[in-house]
Amino acid sequence: MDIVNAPHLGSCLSFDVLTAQGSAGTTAGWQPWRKPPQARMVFILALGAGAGGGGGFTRASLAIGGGGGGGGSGGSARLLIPGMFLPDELYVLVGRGGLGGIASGAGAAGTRSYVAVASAQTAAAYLVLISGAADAAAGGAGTAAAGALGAGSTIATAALAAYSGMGIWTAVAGIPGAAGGAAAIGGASVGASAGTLPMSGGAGGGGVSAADVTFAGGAIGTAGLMPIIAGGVAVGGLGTSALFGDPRGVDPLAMWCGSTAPFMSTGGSGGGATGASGTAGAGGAGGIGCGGGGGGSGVTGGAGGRGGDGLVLIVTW
Amino acid sequence: MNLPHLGCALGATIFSAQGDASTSAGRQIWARPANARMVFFCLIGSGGGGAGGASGASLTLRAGGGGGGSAAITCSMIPAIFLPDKLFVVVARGGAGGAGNASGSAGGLSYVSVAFADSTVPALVATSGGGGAGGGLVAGTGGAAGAAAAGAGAVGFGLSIWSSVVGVIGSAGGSGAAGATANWGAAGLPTSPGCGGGGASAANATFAGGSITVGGLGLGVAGGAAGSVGGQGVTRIDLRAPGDALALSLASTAPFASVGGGGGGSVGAAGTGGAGAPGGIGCGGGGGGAGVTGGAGAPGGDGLVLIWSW
Repeated sequence: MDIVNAPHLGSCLSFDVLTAQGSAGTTAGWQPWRKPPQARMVFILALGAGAGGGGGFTRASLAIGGGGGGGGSGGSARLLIPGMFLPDELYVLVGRGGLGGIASGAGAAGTRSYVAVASAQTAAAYLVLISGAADAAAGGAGTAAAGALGAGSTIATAALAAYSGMGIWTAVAGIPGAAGGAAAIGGASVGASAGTLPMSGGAGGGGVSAADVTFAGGAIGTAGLMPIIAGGVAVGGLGTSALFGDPRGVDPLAMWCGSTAPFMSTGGSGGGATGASGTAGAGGAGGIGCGGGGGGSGVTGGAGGRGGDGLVLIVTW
Repeated sequence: MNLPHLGCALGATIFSAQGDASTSAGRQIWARPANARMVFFCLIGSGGGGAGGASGASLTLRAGGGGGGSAAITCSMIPAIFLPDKLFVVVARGGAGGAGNASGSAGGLSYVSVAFADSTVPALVATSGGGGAGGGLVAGTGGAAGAAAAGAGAVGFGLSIWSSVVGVIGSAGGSGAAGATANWGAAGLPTSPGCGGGGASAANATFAGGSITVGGLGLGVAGGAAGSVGGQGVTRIDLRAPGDALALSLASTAPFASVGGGGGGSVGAAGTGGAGAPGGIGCGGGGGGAGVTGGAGAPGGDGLVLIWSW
């Protein structure tokens, strides 16, 4: 997405929002970015992808079941660097969100985002910026116990990218998801914007007791301008996918780029459990960089929600 | 300065080391453009000098000189309203290389100050680090890494956004072995330390100096073969036309990169060990090779200060 005529962006030379393309695991996912000839300063933001939520436990009626854990969020790194220090072309790999786990299965990790001086190179000597030190961890599968939360992407260090030191650089870690519900409680909730990012991990899926008492999935708690995102109700309610910050918007990225609302993104809420029969609710999908919600437990466990893709933003002036 | 690739910046000034950085001759003046709203600084300290290789009689174990450490780099952005009309810049000179059988000298810090000849904290807008890169030791130990700047290192940091990245320890000289190598670009900076010199064994076996391992877009420096001078460190910004470092950088759109000096190779029964090679901007010098007379260590690279305003 190349946006050069958005009034609120002022007189910047270029404003590029790079989203995930192809497979993040192959060269198809790498995208070139060309530095405008007159760029004197370049600002780069790299957000890693969120991880997938774990699937809820599939168990027989009248047996204890745990909800899947929520996936962790991606990390964030920023660099403001003189254009003179960079080559004409950079190569960007935007992390893909991790897939949600199937019933009784763990989710997949959310991969990191990279900005490099050569295509398909992720070694430190090639990197201008990297979103984190490790990928966001997937939510654990529900078992007879609660599914474990997925950890957020660990914080990037300057040593991971050779050009960190040639500009003003900073990074923050991703945010963990929440654990699934155990035998007699709902999925754990997470707060939106609870850490140093306007993002969150995914909430946990709801559990079910040995008496087939069912519980709701965890919610994304309200914070700042972000409204609450309810978890899937018991019995079997689906978790809700992430909302975006622009109240006028539906498509998050498109609306954000054309709006003056602040950037906000959340994880998916957890799915609700079922008791004696039926498929439990699936976890909701995460927004940009956020974790997917965990699935609820049931006779057939609910699937975990997919983690949100990462994002790379490059502004020049 | 009218560099097309720098766009319409009000000012884009690059200060290289002048005179003696420890005296007023080394101080330079930067005048703030009248319409500047924001000012960005990038300060690179100088590299430590490589140590000379050990001198010793034939058939004795001798160590190559340690490579010099590389400097920390600090960048800062501050509203121009917080700055006076003029600032004073000191760009550090690279640490001297040690003579045969002598340690190298430490590199220095680069400063931007509001007052002439005043590098105390209350006068500083920014400093390149919290401590200079160390010189290599004649016993073979590499020079210390230049320390990252701390918030308490310059009063101007409190009014700006800034970050600082620590340098890298110099590579060790070999003791009856080849000098240690160094990796380019492995520590969050597009620079490297200096390499160690080659040692000589008690049986007079000789060894090569350390080299800079190629990384990223292909910056590598060879170590000196036994008895030879190490490969010279360079600063390249235009990798398509290596040569004069700084001049090319100003006219190019290639990425900034700088490498330390290679280590000198050793000699055994007679003669002088190979000298280390000088480091590029902010990088350490190479250590000298051991010998009956140790080869000289090489100086670290000078620092650099860049100031943009818009």
